[in-house]
Amino acid sequence: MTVELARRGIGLRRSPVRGSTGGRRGRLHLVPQWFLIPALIFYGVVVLYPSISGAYYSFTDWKGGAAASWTGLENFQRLIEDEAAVASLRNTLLIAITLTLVQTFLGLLLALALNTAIRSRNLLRTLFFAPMMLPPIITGLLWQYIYVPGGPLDTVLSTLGLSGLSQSWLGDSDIALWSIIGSVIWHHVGMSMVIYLAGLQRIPEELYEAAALDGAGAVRRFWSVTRPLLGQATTIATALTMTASLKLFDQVFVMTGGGPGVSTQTLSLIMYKEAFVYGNYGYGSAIALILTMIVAFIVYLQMSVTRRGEVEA
Amino acid sequence: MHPQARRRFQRAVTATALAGCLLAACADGSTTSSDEAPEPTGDGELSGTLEIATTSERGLDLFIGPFEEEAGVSIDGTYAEAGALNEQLRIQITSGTAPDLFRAAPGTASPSAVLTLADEGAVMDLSDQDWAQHVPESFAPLQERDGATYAFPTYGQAMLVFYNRTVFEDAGVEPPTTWSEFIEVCDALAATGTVPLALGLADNYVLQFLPFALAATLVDGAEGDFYERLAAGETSFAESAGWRETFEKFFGLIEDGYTTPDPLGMPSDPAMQAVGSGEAAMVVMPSAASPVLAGFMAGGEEEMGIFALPATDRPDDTHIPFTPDYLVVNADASNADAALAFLDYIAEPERTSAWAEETGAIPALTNAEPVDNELNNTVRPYLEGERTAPFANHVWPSGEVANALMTTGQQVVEGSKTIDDLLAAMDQAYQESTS
Repeated sequence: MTVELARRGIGLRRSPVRGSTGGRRGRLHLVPQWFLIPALIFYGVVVLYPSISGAYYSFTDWKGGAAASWTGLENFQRLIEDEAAVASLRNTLLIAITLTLVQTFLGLLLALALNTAIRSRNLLRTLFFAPMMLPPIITGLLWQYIYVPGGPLDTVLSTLGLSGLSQSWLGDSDIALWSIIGSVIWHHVGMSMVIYLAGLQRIPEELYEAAALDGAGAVRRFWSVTRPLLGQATTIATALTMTASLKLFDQVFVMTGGGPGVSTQTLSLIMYKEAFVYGNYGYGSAIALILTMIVAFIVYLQMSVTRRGEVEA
Repeated sequence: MHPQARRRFQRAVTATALAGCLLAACADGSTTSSDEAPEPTGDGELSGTLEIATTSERGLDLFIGPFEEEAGVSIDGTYAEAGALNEQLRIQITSGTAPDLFRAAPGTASPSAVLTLADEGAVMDLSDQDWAQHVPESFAPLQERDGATYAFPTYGQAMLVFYNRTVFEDAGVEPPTTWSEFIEVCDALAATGTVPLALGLADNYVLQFLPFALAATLVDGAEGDFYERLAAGETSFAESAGWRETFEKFFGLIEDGYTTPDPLGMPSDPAMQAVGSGEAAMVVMPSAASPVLAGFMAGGEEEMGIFALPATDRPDDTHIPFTPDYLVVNADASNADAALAFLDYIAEPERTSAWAEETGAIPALTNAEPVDNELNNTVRPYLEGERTAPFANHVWPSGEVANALMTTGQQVVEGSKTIDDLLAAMDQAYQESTS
């Protein structure tokens, strides 16, 4: 009955004379909206209200206990002057740009390699995607162990006669961030690969046949057929990678805690420390607000650019 | 607008405003606790459920069943790792849903530490409890505010040197009692190809251990009123000869090659494993971590030796960092009588000792029955001689000073900052925490 009413309601809504109908038909017209009310209340309580509260607290000195006092832009001023926060912003942007470019490119390469007729392709696809099944905390601990001085990575390098390449992977400020980026790429590249594989499998084989008949070689076919038709996949892969890398927390928290010094500190990590370790919830909220705005702006910008290159098959 | 539509609109606005007020009240940053701690009813009739939240059931489980039977109270326990528990409790305290009795860190080191909560009126004044007279005086800066005590010290842990007996025997060395002897031991161990001191600074909290062990003697022992003068603005970390010497000795050990090579790249666990396997000889750490180290040793606990880290050449000067863990009673506890009765129950001398023994710790109350094991036998002379000091971070006004130590300390190890920079960073963090 309810479903039937809803269906009829939808039908009425589409009626060209719905504005002039009243009484029972008018009430029926509102039925679908009523069904939205519980979800809207839930959304308001769970998402909207905390978000607005968080934005409000970013303008206060709230420390979790006593009542918060309005401090205007003081938290944002502190953010600009805070050496650790500035380093965190720089590191976060570096991580986001590097991960988006390298991980997306590697994901594309893997997808192209595994979209061929090689016999072990299903096994290899599974192997490359498998790390995605592990929680980030676990991969962080795993890579912390791999990077230990004299640990597995150094042993492999030594076995290959490349012991000169051994480094203090997590103990050197100049290298630690790149070591973390390497571990994150290992963890997430399977996701980019899967997105590109899905994109590749949507491209009609006839287009390649037609291009081949026109005398296009492999490079030309990739450039003129594959690349433009992977536009949507690129938009999705880069947007997901960019969003995840701007919020990167777990691996950094586990592998270095932001050190040595502040060399691997990220905005998410410093936000966590300020709010939950030091109890500076007001300042932590200000960092969260800035992080949200940065994520929104960069992802909007990036999607605007990548969507321009999208072509439908 | 049609009158009926206007009324509907007005009702909707009113309902929305009411809902908004309710939500705002829920999210208000203030706690719901009163400024003054409520008095327990003390009618002797116990019933209902006692909610407890702490880090581990271990040790506590000795008393839960017997207390439930004796008092007629049901205990509902929640257990979580200290960091997660602190975060969870902070939220519960703010929203007025904290359990009756819960674990709190000492001093003001975290948002859910004893004195932070006492300042908010979120925990009960426990000064008039019978066991309060048995709290060691050295704990006062960690649990007292204006002469009132706000926490029950469950058991303590000390910052000590833990070593591999086999490695010491092979090198023909004995536990040192002076700083010079300590350096001689390090030289003798290094001569056998062993890393004298395991140091895993990739986990940055480890950077606090050795300085705290040295500062107990060089700051708390030698400059007893340093923290009072610091709080009064009469001195600073940079002006403290004790803190400067602490860092000179600590970073000197690294520069002189007595510690794990590349300590910044070495996490804490592999560093401890190195002591267990005999690649390294010693590690400085809190006694609470000793069961983990014993697990890495082939001979288990028997193979693990313990001594206090000397910081001067006068053995009687040596102080050790010793800090308790706490239980506090929620000022808004729904079953405050049961919480107080439970503290009374576990404060019995044989029970505090049993709890400490079960958890591999040191009893915190002065009337506790002595526990006969190597850890307690090592610590007892310092407790009896009143040569203990709280872990330094527990008397600092917030976690930000410790963060300055860990962050800038790593940069000193790396060579990009100096000891002067470190002391200045700690002073700045201290000022920001108290302003």
